[in-house]
Amino acid sequence: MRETKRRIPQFAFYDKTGIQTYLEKQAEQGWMLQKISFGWVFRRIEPGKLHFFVTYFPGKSVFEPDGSEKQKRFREFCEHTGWKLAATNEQMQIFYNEAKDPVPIETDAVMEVTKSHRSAGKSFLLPYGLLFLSFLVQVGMRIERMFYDPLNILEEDMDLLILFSWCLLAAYVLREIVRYFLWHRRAVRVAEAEGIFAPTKSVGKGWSMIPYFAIFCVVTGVVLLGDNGISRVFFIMLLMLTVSVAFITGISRWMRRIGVRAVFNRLAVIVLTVLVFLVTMQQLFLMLIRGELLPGREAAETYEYNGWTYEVYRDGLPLTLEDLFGEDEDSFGAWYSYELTEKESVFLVRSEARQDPRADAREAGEEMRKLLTDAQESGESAQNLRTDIQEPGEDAQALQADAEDSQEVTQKLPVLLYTVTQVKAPFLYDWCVRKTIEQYTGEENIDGEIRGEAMRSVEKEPWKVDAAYRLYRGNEAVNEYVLCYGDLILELNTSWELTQEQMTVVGERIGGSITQNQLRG
Amino acid sequence: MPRVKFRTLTEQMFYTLLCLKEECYGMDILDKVPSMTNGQVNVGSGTLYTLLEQFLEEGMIRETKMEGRRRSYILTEKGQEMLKKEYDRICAQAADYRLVFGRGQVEKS
Repeated sequence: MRETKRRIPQFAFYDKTGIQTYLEKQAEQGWMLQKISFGWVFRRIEPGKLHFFVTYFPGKSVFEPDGSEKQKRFREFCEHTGWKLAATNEQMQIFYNEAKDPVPIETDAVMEVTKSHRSAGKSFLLPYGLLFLSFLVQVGMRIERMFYDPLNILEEDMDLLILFSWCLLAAYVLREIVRYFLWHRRAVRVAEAEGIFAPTKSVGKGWSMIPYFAIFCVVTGVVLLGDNGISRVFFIMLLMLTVSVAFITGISRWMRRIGVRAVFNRLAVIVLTVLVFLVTMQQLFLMLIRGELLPGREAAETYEYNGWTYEVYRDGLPLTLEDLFGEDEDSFGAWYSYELTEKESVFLVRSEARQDPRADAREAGEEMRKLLTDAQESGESAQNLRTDIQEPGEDAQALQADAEDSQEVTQKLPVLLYTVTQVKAPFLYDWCVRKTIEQYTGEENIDGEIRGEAMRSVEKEPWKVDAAYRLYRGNEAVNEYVLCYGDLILELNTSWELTQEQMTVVGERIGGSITQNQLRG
Repeated sequence: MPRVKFRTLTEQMFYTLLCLKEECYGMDILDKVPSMTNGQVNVGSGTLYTLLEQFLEEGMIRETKMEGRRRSYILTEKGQEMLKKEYDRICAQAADYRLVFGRGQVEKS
């Protein structure tokens, strides 16, 4: 037969009534509270009727050595009236009495409420207040991002689930704080008017499961919905946090046990916390640099250039430079990386595509120049690439003057970046378009001159789209577009001025994917 | 309205101070008060502990002796004044009662 058992009862810190009733029932069943440490530990006793009393010792600091003179004196007072100490948990002390009808430890309700309130301030309201603030910051940051860059939140189920969990936790903590204040207000009134201590009550079982449910949601979100990198970071940080907290708490408890003064204990905890934080950050940083933390996805190939290792991807892109310039894959393929990152949530599917030149394209020298020349000579489709090279802006003039330098040739290689967002929930489409356009609104400092940036509606005909917007910096058009096709939003960024034909190709290629989706649907 | 500290004394405060007319160990008050009041008034150990701390803070009692953890206390002048004030208040209340109901009625009840 087991001689001890461990339970994790869900009581609010201030719930004296609930704790006392629970412990009396346990005693009736033959279990006596022995200590509170990683749960409540009970030892077997002869079943019987015992009285329990929870009292608070507001003056006790968590750094104070165990069994200080004051505490011992207090316990002697209690023992004198038959109250023996069962267990303590920081400021809370639990006594039991075997007498049939003992005088309670507290006989002045006003004083009892005051003591309880002073302890609650330190042990309950302060940590809960801080928790609520941190949850509020988390929720606030995500909601702010939702207004500023909603697609970034909506694109990941994990983010949505985590936002939901933070909201749950914030609501739970706030409800607990409000409940406490309501109880305290009533308790003061009852104590002064009737001289009795108003009974306390913890939250119901269902509500008390909320924190566990929220934590379950976060873990599930990270493990099942996050990519490997995020899960890894989450678990490494969780492990480091657990080990650090266990280590620092262990040291502090040991110091309390051997009687180290509170001031030194507090100092040691602060120093250790700072040290552990610095070491943890340093280790995480090193892991990040070594690529162990966020290993990323596997590249199709890697190459060394100037002592750095670069990755090349060969993902299939819905729209490529080859499509736009009418070249076959061999002409660009050798010097470009094709990277496609896809994310999907209940609301959105987002594909971020980039086709950009390799860092070592400069080594291509003659070959690259030939490629550009071919592009220039390939007729109308490359008209604007040629224009870009032959009639550049100020920066490009410098480039042209030193056209022999292959690095600059690399810089002049066309780059294609775009994001295709498919909005699965039709009611969100207009809002997503509006928010996407708003994101481009801002100011740019160009050589000391502040120019406003904004998307303007432009001719949609060449694109064959429902709506087309182009970014303008002041009155100067920039090669960035937002295009709407059915349930798709395309954000397109090119390094050159697109021709009408190229715009049509974009429409056909991206618009074509709607047809595919519709067919699939 | 919240209770103003020591403007009036509760029964427990009153009897605790009364016990300390003579030098007395804190813990002994736990037994003295019920015996003085025929068990009508009891002071809980936690309440007494806090009261002694508060009385000391307010200068209403002072510590006389410390034997290990056992400490004894005695009433100060300020404490005596407080007790007297409380006594006068109770007497005034009793006098008012008598005035309303008359001495005969009080003695009869």
